[in-house]
Amino acid sequence: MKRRHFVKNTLVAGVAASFASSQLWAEEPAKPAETKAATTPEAASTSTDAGSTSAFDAENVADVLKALGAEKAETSDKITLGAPDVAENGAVVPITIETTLENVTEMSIIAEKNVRPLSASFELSPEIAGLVATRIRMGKSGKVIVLVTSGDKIYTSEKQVKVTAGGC
Amino acid sequence: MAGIKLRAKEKGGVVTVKTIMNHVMESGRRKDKESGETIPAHYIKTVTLMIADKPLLKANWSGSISKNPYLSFKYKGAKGETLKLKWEDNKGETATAETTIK
Repeated sequence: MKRRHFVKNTLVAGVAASFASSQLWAEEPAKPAETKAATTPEAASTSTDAGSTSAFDAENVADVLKALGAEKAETSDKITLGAPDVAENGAVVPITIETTLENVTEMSIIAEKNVRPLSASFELSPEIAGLVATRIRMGKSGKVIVLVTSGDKIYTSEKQVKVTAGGC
Repeated sequence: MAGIKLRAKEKGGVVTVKTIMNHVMESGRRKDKESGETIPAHYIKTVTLMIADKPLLKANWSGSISKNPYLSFKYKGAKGETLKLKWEDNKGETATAETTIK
């Protein structure tokens, strides 16, 4: 019970402070710090909704998928992911995404074990004929995951790539 | 600016575009071997390709794209059109190139 009161009180104080500080900044020098603490979580949650920029900052695959709204991506055999089985040089790993899906608007490449897994995302116009290729860096062996947005659905495909010499 | 190779070839209504951009693509994680200091990130963030001034493809990249990045794609197009490429890196530098579809 005591703890609950404490939490409640500090919350109230935080909210009060945020109101107060906007008007009475000069008179309440002690409060602004509290205000900051109270608003930070909010600021953080809006930044994760910001789309591709924050997806690039995500540090694990789950967060990337979340930032891209692709947690429920379906595996599709209409995507051909071209990647070597063994990459001798992790600094240059050729990746090819080919798909027969229609209305593709976006493609993304994720290297599972990289510190920043999202490597690239492509925004495509309707004229693009189902093939995009580039070369990425991979720190260590791991899965390469591609996401393909077709219509309002996201499809995925993945492949294990063994890296003999890391390239990050 | 020099440093961009851009080729586009039409066959059967499909144009194959291949491009290599010269860029260091520093990820910001590598360390200088002698001083041990981290080399600051310097990489291409966006590459935009336009055909007849209409956007065709936009690539958003992170520092984990290989040095001197290679990009290739296919699109439905015709000979004689002008393809334009522009990249911008994380320091705000840009470069452009253009070619005519052969």
